[in-house]
Amino acid sequence: MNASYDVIVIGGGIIGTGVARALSRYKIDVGVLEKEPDVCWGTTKANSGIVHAGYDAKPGTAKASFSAPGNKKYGGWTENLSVPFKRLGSFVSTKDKSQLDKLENLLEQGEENGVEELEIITDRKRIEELEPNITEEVEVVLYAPTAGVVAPYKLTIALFENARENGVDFHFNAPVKGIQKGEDEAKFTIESGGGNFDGKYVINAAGIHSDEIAGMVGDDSFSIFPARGEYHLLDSEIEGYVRRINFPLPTQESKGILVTPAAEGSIIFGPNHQPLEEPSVATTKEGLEKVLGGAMKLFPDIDTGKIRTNFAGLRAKAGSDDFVIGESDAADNFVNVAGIQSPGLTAAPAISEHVVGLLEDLGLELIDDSDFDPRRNPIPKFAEMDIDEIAQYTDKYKAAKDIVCRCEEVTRAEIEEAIDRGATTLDGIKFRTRSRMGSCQGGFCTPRLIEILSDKLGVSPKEITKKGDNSYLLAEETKKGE
Amino acid sequence: MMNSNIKSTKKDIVVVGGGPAGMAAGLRGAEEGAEVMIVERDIELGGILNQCIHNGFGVEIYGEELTGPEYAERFTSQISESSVDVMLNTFVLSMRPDKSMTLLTPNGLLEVEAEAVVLATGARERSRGEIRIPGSRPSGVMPAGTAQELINKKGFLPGKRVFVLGSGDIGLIISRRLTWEGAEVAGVAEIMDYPTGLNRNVVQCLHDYDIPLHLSHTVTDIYGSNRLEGVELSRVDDNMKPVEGTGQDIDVDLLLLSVGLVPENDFFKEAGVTLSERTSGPIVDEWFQTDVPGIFGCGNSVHIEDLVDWVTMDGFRAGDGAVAYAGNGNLQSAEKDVVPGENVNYVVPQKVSGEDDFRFALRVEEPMENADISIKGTDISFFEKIVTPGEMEVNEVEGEDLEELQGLDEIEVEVTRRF
Ligand SMILES: Cc1cc2nc3c(=O)[nH]c(=O)nc-3n(C[C@H](O)[C@H](O)[C@H](O)COP(=O)(O)OP(=O)(O)OC[C@H]3O[C@@H](n4cnc5c(N)ncnc54)[C@H](O)[C@@H]3O)c2cc1C
Ligand SMILES: Cc1cc2nc3c(=O)[nH]c(=O)nc-3n(C[C@H](O)[C@H](O)[C@H](O)COP(=O)(O)OP(=O)(O)OC[C@H]3O[C@@H](n4cnc5c(N)ncnc54)[C@H](O)[C@@H]3O)c2cc1C
Repeated sequence: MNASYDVIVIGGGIIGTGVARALSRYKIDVGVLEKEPDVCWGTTKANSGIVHAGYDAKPGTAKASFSAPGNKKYGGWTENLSVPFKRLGSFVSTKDKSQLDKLENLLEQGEENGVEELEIITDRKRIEELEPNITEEVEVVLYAPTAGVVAPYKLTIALFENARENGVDFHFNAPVKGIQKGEDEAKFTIESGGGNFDGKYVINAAGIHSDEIAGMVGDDSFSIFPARGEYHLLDSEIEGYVRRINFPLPTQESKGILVTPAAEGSIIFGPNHQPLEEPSVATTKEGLEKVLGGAMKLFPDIDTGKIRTNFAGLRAKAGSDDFVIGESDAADNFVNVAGIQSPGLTAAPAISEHVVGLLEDLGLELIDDSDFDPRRNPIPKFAEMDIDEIAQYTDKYKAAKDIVCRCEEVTRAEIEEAIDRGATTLDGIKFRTRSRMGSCQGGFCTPRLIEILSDKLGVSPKEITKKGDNSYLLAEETKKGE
Repeated sequence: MMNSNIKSTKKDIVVVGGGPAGMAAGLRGAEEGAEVMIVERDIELGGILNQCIHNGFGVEIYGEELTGPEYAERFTSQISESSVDVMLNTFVLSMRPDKSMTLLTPNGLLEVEAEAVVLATGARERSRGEIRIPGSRPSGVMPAGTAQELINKKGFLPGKRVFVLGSGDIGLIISRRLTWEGAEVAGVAEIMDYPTGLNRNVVQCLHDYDIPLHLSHTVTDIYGSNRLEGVELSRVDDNMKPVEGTGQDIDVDLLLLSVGLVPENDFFKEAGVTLSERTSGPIVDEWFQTDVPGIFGCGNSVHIEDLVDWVTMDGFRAGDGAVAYAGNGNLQSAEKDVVPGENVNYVVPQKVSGEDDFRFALRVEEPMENADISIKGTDISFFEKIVTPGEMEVNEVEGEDLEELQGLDEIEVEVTRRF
């Protein structure tokens, strides 16, 4: 017999885990199916990490209606989940006073969308106080103090852990391949690479593949067009050089190339906007040059020698250019949460609650589960401890005296705990602990990490991968002097 | 707030890093009667030597070609018989300008106060992001030194068909090692128009195995979404920019990067030491003292050296300096700047007193034949048949030559063609 759920969520990105966690406060059975070995390997892992204030979207769109409300929920969301979130405030800067009207339009649009505290700054001294290293050419700024930065992967992992604590089942390595709608009962049977599952309601949160999933129930009302965005990530050594989230004036297709501190200390530049025929997260010379050029316009003196790595993410743009949220016309009780392009991260808490409401409207009975605990404990972070905390922590755990990742000071205790919490790959450990994210990008600690993973998982080092599938690290044993 | 449970101790000299540089400094300190502690984060002393199982170490000092571990053994055996207190599996958590530090040892935290500190923390390899190779992000792209560790210390081959970017010694030696292990090395690319490693290594590691060396080439794209499937190799122009249309795809499952080492300079920064923009290591004087009195550096943490022999000699010298400083809190102050002149990329030390004999090491910017390495405004000059950026040049200024420096405020070192 197939495992059976009240609600099956397809996709473990910010939307899938957000919805799953929102549902976990009720007495219902929820299962999440994710094709990868871990959560957050789709669009949610590679984006700007901005919790936008909410002035960008045209009033009346779904994007607009979920952004500012999503932003407002972030403080509580991240506090319960113990995920770093900083309201740094954002700047839209122009070099030219004649562009003032454009900023005024944005401000008005923001107010209509419910964004608070928006302000236009024309006083150069104040601009410098807020952002000392911005190009001196900037004369006018739209300042949105409510905008913030979050580590999207940390947040998604926290949502996953908390949902799991509260009873949600997560099935990894379970790519959905087909969906059968039951004849008379309200029931779906879902075929996946990780087994078959029955569900009364299905949430389609499969990101870039959400059109394919919808197609499985005969819904071809929307298509997803991927558009790539590329980034540079700088060493956290220059933390503090950039203090706010900096945008140029937005264009038709995107909010432009931004320069911002990342929630965990480094600085990022990006993204560009490159529509693609075939999804690909490879970076390109042209793309990276464009991003660098864009960033240098705002911060001409930034030390680009501190660039540590590059990455790219894929926007899942629906044809309508808006979020597609609601029950499918093609199948009752099948809910699309698709086309969640930017500002989807921002909107996620509001979307999650909205989807719960939708399910209730569709007849799902929601009874509060008194055991629900909204709080999630993070993995203790050695690098952030003071000396007394270190003394206690290292007294308690022997593995805490063993620093595996030297750049980010990550101990074996943290790595082992990340594995206990579900990491099975190098990337899984990286997103949970920051090992391999520092200056050496894993040069030193990779051999150790392979050892620890293979010990804990009880498999040969040859089976350890960077990110599942065929991404093995070791081809074979050496001849050992034979 | 200081936790009363944390143990504390005092030492004359604390050496951070137990590679060849740190071992030499520590040994010298102990020989001179100082109380010395060596702090090493690894499970054993020896540093990078432990994974270099090829021979070629010790030619200058011992006149024989030892393997890395054999060379290390000469020092570890002396250390174990000396009074040096060796702390293995121990991490420095914070380093302060007053030469006190907090250590995390297998037995818990330890506060240490030192009269003098020698930072011999070695170097790290540059990563893919630092040289900005675009493309996808599969597994199978790693620094050559990481591959060397996996092969020589862990017993695993990280790939079967390999491309190596960078013709420095590490890249050359790993190519030969991979071939011995049955992997196929499809080629080595070097962005410069000459190999940057030692010539003997080009011959012994590439030519002898028919491994193609592509000079003036670099990797411009990386393919494969999970595991590496191939790279694009392109020719570069005189400005080292890839030439459009010259790209060729090479199928490989492993790309090794041997694109330079960077001194591990974090503790110098923490201690408030001024760094050199050219070396990324600290600015030091002839005793390897930095501009924070009592804090010394030696080995790859100061600048990237190609021969372990020089590393050892610098370690001894830094050890002497630390002993002198720990003894009376004083070392001759070095007032004269040593600056790079024509065709000199950098010189170490960057300051000298002009009173004591000193050795100076430099790297040139461009290869040159029949070169004179000289100090401007003096007759001090050393002839070299050929100099290249890949080979460090080391010379000594001693005895009467020192007098020539008397009148100079600044010592400018230049490399010019003799004929
Ligand atoms: C370049 C860029 C920058 C952005 N910047 C911001 C920003 O600063 N602020 C902001 O608010 N938003 C931003 N966004 C938008 C934000 O990243 C997305 O809205 C959000 O991550 C979408 O989450 P998701 O859960 O819908 O998709 P995803 O994270 O892609 O999750 C979908 C999941 O479904 C899984 N899946 C797919 N197919 C199947 C299948 N057949 N079976 C099982 N599982 C499957 C995938 O593996 C994946 O884990 C940005 C987006 C991009 C691309
Ligand atoms: C692949 C390769 C091949 C080489 N081949 C040759 C050759 O054939 N002949 C030759 O003469 N030379 C060769 N060399 C060069 C020579 O080995 C190096 O120059 C020399 O090892 C540098 O010594 P070091 O002590 O400065 O650094 P390392 O050997 O790197 O030692 C640094 C030590 O400091 C420790 N450390 C760092 N940070 C901390 C910390 N925070 N706390 C505690 N401990 C710390 C490290 O664990 C390490 O043990 C080669 C080098 C490489 C990489």
